[in-house]
Amino acid sequence: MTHEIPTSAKTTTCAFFTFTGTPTLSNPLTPVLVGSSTGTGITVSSNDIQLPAGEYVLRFFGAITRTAGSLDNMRYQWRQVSGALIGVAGASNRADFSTKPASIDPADAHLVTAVGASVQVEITGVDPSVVLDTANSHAVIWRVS
Amino acid sequence: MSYSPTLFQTAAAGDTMTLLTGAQSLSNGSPTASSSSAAWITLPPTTTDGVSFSAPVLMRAVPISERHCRSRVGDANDSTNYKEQAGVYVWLSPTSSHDIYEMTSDDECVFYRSQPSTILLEEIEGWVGGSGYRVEFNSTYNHSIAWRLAP
Repeated sequence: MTHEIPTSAKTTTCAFFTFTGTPTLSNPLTPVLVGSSTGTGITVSSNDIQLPAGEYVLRFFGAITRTAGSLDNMRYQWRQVSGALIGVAGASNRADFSTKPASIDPADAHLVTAVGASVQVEITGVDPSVVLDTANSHAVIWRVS
Repeated sequence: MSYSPTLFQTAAAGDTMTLLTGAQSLSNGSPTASSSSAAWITLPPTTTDGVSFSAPVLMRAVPISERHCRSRVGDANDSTNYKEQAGVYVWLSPTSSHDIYEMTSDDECVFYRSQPSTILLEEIEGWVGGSGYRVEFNSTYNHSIAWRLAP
């Protein structure tokens, strides 16, 4: 028995990013495209992640370099460039877990675009002196098209 | 959440993925809204119900409690499947000057269902006593992503 894949079948691809920058209220972080599936078509321009037409799930984890005793944190959310914040905010873990395993709550969003769109990760809350952990801050974007 | 409606392909929106948000109650973390209106998702009809999927699904839930808790959270309809459950440890800041984010979770639930299913997101077990309380799901930050795995 043979099975043929319908020509209308959708394909899922993904891209992985790391981030740099100083967390500053209402400002975006700077993405670095580390790798992506062939044909994803996702690119980076300055602070923008540019998405061709398709359906997307976007997931960002923001890590910080925590000093012992600090309760400082940051909160973040996806923003459609020149548009609104989208999805649900995430944040670094708020307690002083510097000596214990800690986790990060992701900022997640779902976006469907017929013409393409640009998105950013924006800092929507930040305590003083928060330093981004660039080795662990990351995002994954899944595309279905 | 808000989206730019002019960018949507209405007929295809949410055909394969969705963002589920909200909580039915303090004790039921099942969603109240979906970014997709696609027919493969049925939101809980009452505050004691779970979210239903008419197709195989992979769902990653981020359970957020707005109160101190040390709990396991999972699908109450399949509560013996420990590997799908999240260990949620929430400890609110003792000072108001450090309240950037008061709701934290320490884990995610990851559910895979190969058949149509209903997932009821609840606390399976919690440590109560001292400073420990039951999970109280936060309706603002509680959320999930679901991927439809087959037609």
